[in-house]
This record gives sequence, structure tokens and C-alpha cells, in this order.
Amino acid sequence: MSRRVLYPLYQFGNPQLRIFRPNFFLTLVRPGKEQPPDTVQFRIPMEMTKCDVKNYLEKIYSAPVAAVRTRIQYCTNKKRNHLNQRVKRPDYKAAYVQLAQQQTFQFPDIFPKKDGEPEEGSMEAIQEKFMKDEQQRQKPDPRRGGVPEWFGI
Amino acid sequence: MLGKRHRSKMAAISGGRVLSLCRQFQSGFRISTLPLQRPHVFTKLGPLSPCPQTHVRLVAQCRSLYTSSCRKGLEEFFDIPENWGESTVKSGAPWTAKQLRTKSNEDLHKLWYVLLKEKNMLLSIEQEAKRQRVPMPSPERLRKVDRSMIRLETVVREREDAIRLLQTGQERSRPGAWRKDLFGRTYWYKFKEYPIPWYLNTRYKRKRFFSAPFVNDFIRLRIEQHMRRRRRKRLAEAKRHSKLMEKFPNMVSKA
Amino acid sequence: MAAWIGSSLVSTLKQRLGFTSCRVIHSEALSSVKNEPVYPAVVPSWTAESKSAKRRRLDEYFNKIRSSEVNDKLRLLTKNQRKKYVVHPQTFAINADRWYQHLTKTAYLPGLPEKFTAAAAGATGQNATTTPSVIDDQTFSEVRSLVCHTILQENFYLKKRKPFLDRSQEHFVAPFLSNLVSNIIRILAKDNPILLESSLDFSPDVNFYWLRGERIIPRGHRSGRVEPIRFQIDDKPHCQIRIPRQLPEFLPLEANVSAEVPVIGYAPDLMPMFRKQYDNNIFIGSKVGDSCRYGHTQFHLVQDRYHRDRLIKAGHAERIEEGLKANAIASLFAWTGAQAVYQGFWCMEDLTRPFVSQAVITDGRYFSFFCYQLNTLALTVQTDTGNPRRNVSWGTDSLPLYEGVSGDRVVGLDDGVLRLLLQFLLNRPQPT
Repeated sequence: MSRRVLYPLYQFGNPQLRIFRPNFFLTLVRPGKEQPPDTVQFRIPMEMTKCDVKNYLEKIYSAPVAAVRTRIQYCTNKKRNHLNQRVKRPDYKAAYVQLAQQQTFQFPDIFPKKDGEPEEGSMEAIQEKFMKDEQQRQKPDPRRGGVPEWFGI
Repeated sequence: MLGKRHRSKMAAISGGRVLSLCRQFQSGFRISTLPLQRPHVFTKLGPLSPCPQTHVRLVAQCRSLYTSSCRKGLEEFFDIPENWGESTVKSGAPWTAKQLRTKSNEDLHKLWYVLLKEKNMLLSIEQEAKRQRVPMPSPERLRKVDRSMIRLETVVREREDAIRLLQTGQERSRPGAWRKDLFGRTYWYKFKEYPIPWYLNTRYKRKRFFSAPFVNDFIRLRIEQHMRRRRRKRLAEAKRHSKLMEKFPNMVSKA
Repeated sequence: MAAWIGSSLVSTLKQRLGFTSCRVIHSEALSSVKNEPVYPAVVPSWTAESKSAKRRRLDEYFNKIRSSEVNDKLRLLTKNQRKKYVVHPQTFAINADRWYQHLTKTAYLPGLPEKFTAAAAGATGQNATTTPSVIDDQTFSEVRSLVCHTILQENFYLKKRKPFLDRSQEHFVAPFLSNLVSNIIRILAKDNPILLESSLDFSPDVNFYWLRGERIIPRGHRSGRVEPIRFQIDDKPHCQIRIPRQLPEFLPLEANVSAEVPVIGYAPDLMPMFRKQYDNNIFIGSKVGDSCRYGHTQFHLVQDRYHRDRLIKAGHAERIEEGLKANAIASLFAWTGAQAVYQGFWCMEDLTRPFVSQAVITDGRYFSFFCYQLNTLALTVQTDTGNPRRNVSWGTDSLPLYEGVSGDRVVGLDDGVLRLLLQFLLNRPQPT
């Protein structure tokens, strides 16, 4: 539901708790180890449970979820900063979600290399041209044949 | 500008986002039937929505659909494929509290989920960029979304406070009381819900809301410190005022 | 050695002293000596760190197992303990049936073998070797009334308190099943004489331990080395029938089956399946010396946690059938595999005849029938590379036996399901 809310106690017969504007943010990550094609890996806040993940994905993303398994990853407290103080890397909870109805998910390549020339008139083209000119200006005189500048004459 | 998706936060509901809203809140709505069939959603956004021309363009630029089954859900964790590999992605200004106060509760609710999905997408992109050791395109989007969400939260809280004050006269939503802690300091203790009464709650009984007599000296010293600080502040303000009056005798002070 | 010394001494004596007729000391030894000397066999080392030494150790180990009695074979095969994957026949895991098919090299054919389908279609006058089950009406009506009576016994006649949460299976269905099975056996014993010699076990332990596939150990003092992956099934069916002779096979041993064994390239950890180290057991329900050493039918009870209606309501109806299939494949593979090991077959000595068993999985109302034929136990990487044989399993979807109980009447009793059940129990081995 939410990380900022103190959940009220539940007693038998209470109505279903509803919390508006949930504070949970999920991060879809590329799996470190090879996972079967129907498994998607997330990093979820510590306060979230398996049921929460299932409802979240089904209601907000309308992705059919068959099963969720979670684990907590402890991150190191061993690294030290420039003052020799120990710096903790925050722990996180990882969730492995298996999709229902034999659906599959393949983590896409979000940063493909783009070789295309930037179009004329755009900022990128002007910047590229400027950088090229600068580099040209910085290059030593080709007529010197590779001899450094500080050699006399 | 072409080929880059212009996300206007001014009409934070751009085409793609409207689609997701509609899909979420009106079940059975298929994205392929474009939202031009639901003009009332646009008009609700009132003066902030751009002209219909830009709407159409935005809609045309919004995410294309995949026909394979699951991915239409989990695709929203990533940006549209046209923006993959770009070094910058254009985005508009964040929502201000003033703009948000003009919106109805339903709109704010829907906007929250729009912002939530946007934030999820940005977090996923950020993590993948760290993984691939590549700079994240336009990281300022994350900060904009955060600020929008905070402001939305403030606006909703204001409205809730107003309603509660009018209906019940309670200033705070969570009950509490002024209590003194072990060191004699007075603070606002927020009540917590327990299934058992306080006299059976051993952990609660270990919290002491009183102080021993030897602490009174320290309380007195603290009071003296507080009075000293107040006096110092008052005198410093008076000194500053007199100095200003010396230089500008006809000055009108705020009293 | 003595013969060699004797012969060399004699030859030197003859040379030096020129004696032609020398009285030899060890006459018996010399007479047994041929003229060629006998050397010990040239074999690779036992303790060297070489491939030939490793091969020799493995060969001698396999020969030792091959040459021992069944009890010793069991002990030698299950002696070494290491971490192994524990396979639970009843799991919640998604796609468990595909995983289990891969782990046990089983091809699944939907529907039952022709034996049962043909008889179910009502064809009569078949030769006794293929379909022994011609159920006459009197027996059938007797069984029908018995079934109604047993259902009502648990649900109507007996006054029972409300079951605890999630304990309704052991409250209602377990006694129903025990009564049903024992009484049907009693009725069918005149039709199927093997049932007179059979043994009916309640809550027996069925265990099986096998090796399948290989992996490279990622870390530890043995990291980098190749290791076989070990599995163990510990199953506790509700009841099972064991018979002294083998049931007839459904398909020949080397037959080509249309279905394929699914191949999954991931480690079983992703299923999820967990590893533990404890006693490796191979057990069919009785010890090796018992006379009823072949399996006939197992009856499994679906546990309370698998709420059928909840899965259907959530839209995951196919998971019910997957779970039942996985249960059947795992349990029957374990049972038939253990039966085969009891007869002396193991992964190096592959089966010469198929082992056949049946199972009925029920949750009180829905019955599913499964048949399994074990054709091969050679599942390790070395033995599997050239092995075209596959284990085969047949199965049905879950069919309701009755619609409900209203008062003192059973509503909607399905005769087809009942006939299928009787055919399963009437299945008998070839008369010798």
C-alpha cells in the first residue's frame, strides 16, 4: 500500500483496508543470473509483500501474475569513505514474478548504439561540428611531420 | 523535435498517459480505439491542455502497440522505443501546487498513478543505465516527478485537513497528546494502535512519561537557556532596527 | 615367483654344472610352470590424478555394484550423501509438470492407452490378453451402491464435527478413499484373482534417488569440477496396491512415442526446488524380500492447500491439471524406478523389460487417472547420450465422480468414471 502509512490493526470482520495514492515504486531490473522466460525480476521496497506485488502489477499494469517470490538482499557495510567511516549500501528486496497464461518477457536492450548522423539545424549537429572544429584547431601542424611544437623554429 | 517525444508536463496527461489512465479505470477499453473517442477526458483538464492540434500529434507519437500478449503491461516500465539510445529526452516542467489545486480529487488520483508509473519507468531506466555503465538520459525527469508527487501530496493533505477541521474540529489526523519525556522535555506523543489496553502492555509501560526529581535542575537550566535565547533575539532585533533608523530616519517598519 | 626362481635355478644349474638330469627341488612347482612367465595385469594406477586412473576407479566401482546382490546394490548406490534436490510430487510451482518430465525423461500422452479407452467405449469380445475387463452388470451395480454408500457414510450418516481450517481432506475424504479402495478390491477379487495375492498398504513411504544431468560446482573447495545433479523423491500416497507379478506393458520397450520430452536448460533452482542433504532412500513400500514386489495402483489425495475453486476464480484453471500431472509423473516415476532397482536394474544396467504402474489422484469429488511405463533408468549424462528410450505417461483430466450430496442421496454419479476406476483395478498381469 504505502511506505508512509502506519497500517491500522486488523480484526476479524473489518472491511478491506484501502489506501489511496500508494507510495510503492518498483524497479524492473535485468536479472543477474539467467531466468526462465516467464520470470521478471524487480527491486521492490522493503515494506512490500508478495500479495502487494501481485495486486500492484495486476491492477496498475494489468499484467497477469501467477506467482511471486521475494528475498532480501543485504548490501555491504564494509566500504569506507575518504574519512574512513563505514558507508552502508542500502539493502533492497528483490521479487521474482512469474507471469500467468504462458506469457514471456525478455529484458530489452534500452541503450542500443545509434550511429546515425544528427539532422541539420539541430543542437546536436551544431555541437558535433563545434567539437570537430576545436579538435582540428588543437591538432599540431601536419607539415612538421610529428615533431613536437617546442622543438626550435 | 521530431522523433523525440515531447512530454508536456503542463498537460501532464499526454496521449500515452491518457491511454493508460483510461485503460486502468475503465475496464475493457482497448488502446487501439484511440482516445479521440473520449474527448471529455481532455476537456476536463481545462485551461492547461494544449490545443487539439498538439493533442493529435501527441497521440500519434504515443507508444505503438505490441500485439504479443503480456508485454503491453510490462512495456510501461520502459520508455517508448523511439527514445531508446537517445542521450536526452525532452520533458516539460513539473506540476506546481497552484496548478494542482485547481484539479478535482478524481483527477489528482489519476494523476498520482500516472506519476507513479512514470517514476517506475525512470527508476528502471536509471538502474539499467548503471548496469550498462552508460549515462542515464535526462535524469532531471526523476526530480521533476518527485517534486510533482510531493506537491500533489501537499494539496491532498491540505484538502483533507480542511474537511477534517470543518467536520470535526480536529487539527491533526492522528491522535496524540503533549507529554514529557524522561528528560523533562515536552513533545507531541503520537498515539499508536494496540489490541490490548495500556495497563497490560508491558513494552508501553517501560516508556516513562515522567522524570525523576533530580532532572528538575536540568529543566530549569533548559528554561533559562531558552529565555536567554529569546532575550538575545529580541535585543539583536532591536539593535538592528535602531541601526537602520539611524541610517534611514523616515523608514516605516513592519512593526 | 617360486616357480620362476625354481626354473631359473634349474636352468643355471644345468648350464654351470652341466647336469642334464638334475634332481629338482620343487618338482610340483616346476611341473605347473609353463615356459612363458606370468606377469600381473597391466592396469592404470588407482591413486594417480589422471583420467585413466579415474576411469579405472569408476569401472571397478560399477563392476562391484554389478556383481553384488540387490540389497548390497541398494546400499552401494545410496551410500554417499551429498546435497540433492528434493522433489515434492505435490507443488505449487508453475509448469511443474514440464520440469518433472524433463527431470525424469518422461513423454506425456494425453488420454489413456487404448486398452482403457477401447473398453470404455463399450467394445466387447476382445481377446483376453489385451482387455481383461469385461465388467458384468451385477458387479457394476454392486460397486455403484457401494460407492454411494461410502460417500454418504462420510458426508451424511456419520456425525462429524466441523473440520479445522484446511483439514477437510483428512476429515472427509481420507476415510472415504480407504473404505472405497478396500471394499472395491473385495468385490473385484473374484473377477481379478491377482487382487487376492496383492498387498494393500495405507500411507506407505515411497522413496527414490536418482542422478540426472551435470553441473559445474560454482564455489567451494570443489569448484570448477563437474558433478552429477542428484534428486530424491519422498512420497506418501494415501494407499497403494502391490502385486507379485508385473502388469502387462502398454507399449513395447523401444517404441517411438509421438510426444517429446521437454528440455529445460535452467537449473532446477529456478523452479523453485531446494537442496538438502540427508539419507538417500530407495523404497517401494516394502523391503526387498517381500513377495509383492511390483506395483499395481497408487491412490493419491490432493491436499487441502490446493483450493480448486480459488484457482478457477482467479482464472488459473490450467494450473490444476498441471499440478495433478506433475504429481502423477513424480510419484509413479519414483515407484516404478524403485521397483526396477529392487529387481537389480540401475542406471548402468538398464531395464530389459518395462515396468508399469497406475495411479488415481483425487480430492474426493474429482478423479484423474494416470498410467506410467518406465522404459529406462539410464538418466545420467554418460548413459543418456545414446539412449533413444523414454519413459511414457498417460493421463486424463480431472473428472467429477458425483455432483454433490443432497440429504441422503448422491446426486449425479458418473458411471463412466466409475467404469474407468474399475478397469484400472481389473488390470491384471499375464497369466503365467
